[in-house]
Amino acid sequence: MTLQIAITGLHRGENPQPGIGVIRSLRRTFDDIHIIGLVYDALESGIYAEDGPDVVYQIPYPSSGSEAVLERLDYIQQQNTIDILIPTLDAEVHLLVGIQQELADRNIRCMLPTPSAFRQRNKANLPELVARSDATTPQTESVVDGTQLLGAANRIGYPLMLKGPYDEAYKILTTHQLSNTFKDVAQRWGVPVILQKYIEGTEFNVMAYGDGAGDSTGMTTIRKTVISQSEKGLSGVTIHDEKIDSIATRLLNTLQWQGPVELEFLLNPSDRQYYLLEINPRFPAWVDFASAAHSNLPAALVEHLLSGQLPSVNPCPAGKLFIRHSVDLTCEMEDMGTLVTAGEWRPDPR
Amino acid sequence: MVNLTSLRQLMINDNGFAFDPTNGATYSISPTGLELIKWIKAGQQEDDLIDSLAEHYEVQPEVARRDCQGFIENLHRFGLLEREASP
Repeated sequence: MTLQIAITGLHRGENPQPGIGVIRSLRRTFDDIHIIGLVYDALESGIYAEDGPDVVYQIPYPSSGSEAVLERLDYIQQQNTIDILIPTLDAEVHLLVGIQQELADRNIRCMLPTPSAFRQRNKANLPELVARSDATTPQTESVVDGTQLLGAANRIGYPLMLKGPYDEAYKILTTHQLSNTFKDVAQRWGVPVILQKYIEGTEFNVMAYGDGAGDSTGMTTIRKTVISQSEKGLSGVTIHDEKIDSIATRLLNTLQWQGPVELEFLLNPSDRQYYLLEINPRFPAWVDFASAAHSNLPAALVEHLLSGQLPSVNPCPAGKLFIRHSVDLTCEMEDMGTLVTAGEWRPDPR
Repeated sequence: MVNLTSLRQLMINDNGFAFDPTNGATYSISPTGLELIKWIKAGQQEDDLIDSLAEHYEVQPEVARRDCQGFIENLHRFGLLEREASP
């Protein structure tokens, strides 16, 4: 029986999303799958990629609320039964974590963290989490308005990092910049906005998959070697350091994390400490790079959901390098028009 | 005594390109540096290294000492050699 898997986050532009990497990873392992792309915008580039989804549906933004999202999923279920849903964007994971029972009632299987684990990994809650996990994070404060903003910035000192609750991070040098950036980020992403002490260092990202009972598998770490202006990794190399593995394992154990996860750390050259910056509740955009090196966590997620057993996945060996490369896709306006007007589109069979 | 663990883990190709698998750092090492690393891994101490360098490259001992000490200093700076604590 063909497995129907719905996947979000198909854009691979300046700020690449993980969905296409997840699709490619699954196709490396499973021959008989049907990929349902769930998109917010007809310009998500992966919609038109040759190795993209088999069918595409527009869905409402998470800010529309769970009722609107479930209503749309019900419609899609009538057209293409969704066996498994793999969300790849932080904001939608936030919404789906709260409606896991409703998804289960619809026979849509997901591998998501508990609401408690999801809350504990919020940027604002990291100081509490690291204290319980023998880890370290930069001094962090969350602010919701301009009054709190200045007080928190003075306590932390400049330079500092200003982050949105879901995305975007900016290095802040002055009060003027602080105020303007706060307004911009709060308008785009809402509050709280996070202020973090700026720490000089090299960024390392850890990808893993947790079973919800304290175990994890396939832990792979990359050192970001090229970073874009918006702090996205354009190139990275896999490493193996027991110290960072041990910290990440403790954090996932504390959280009893279930599902895919990416932990972002900074290694400070002065004190040789790894500082936890963020825990993202999803696969990273570089997920398929590890899959190509036989550390396929999206396939492990599907196998885990199907069998109930956590597969053992080897970490990607040290010394594998990825470099992000973008190409121009050619597509027909008519196809995009169909998606915009009908809210769904089925590419020619691959 | 020095701890050679990091140096032994370093992945080095014949052209002197080195990759540290524990932190992702990369280095470009000169042919002389490659010889020195080979001798250090074989257990040579600083005086032996200076003698080997002077003999192998036919340079004055003071030149060999300066080059050898500079290279070892760099290995320490990059965390590839660590002095072991006295018991």
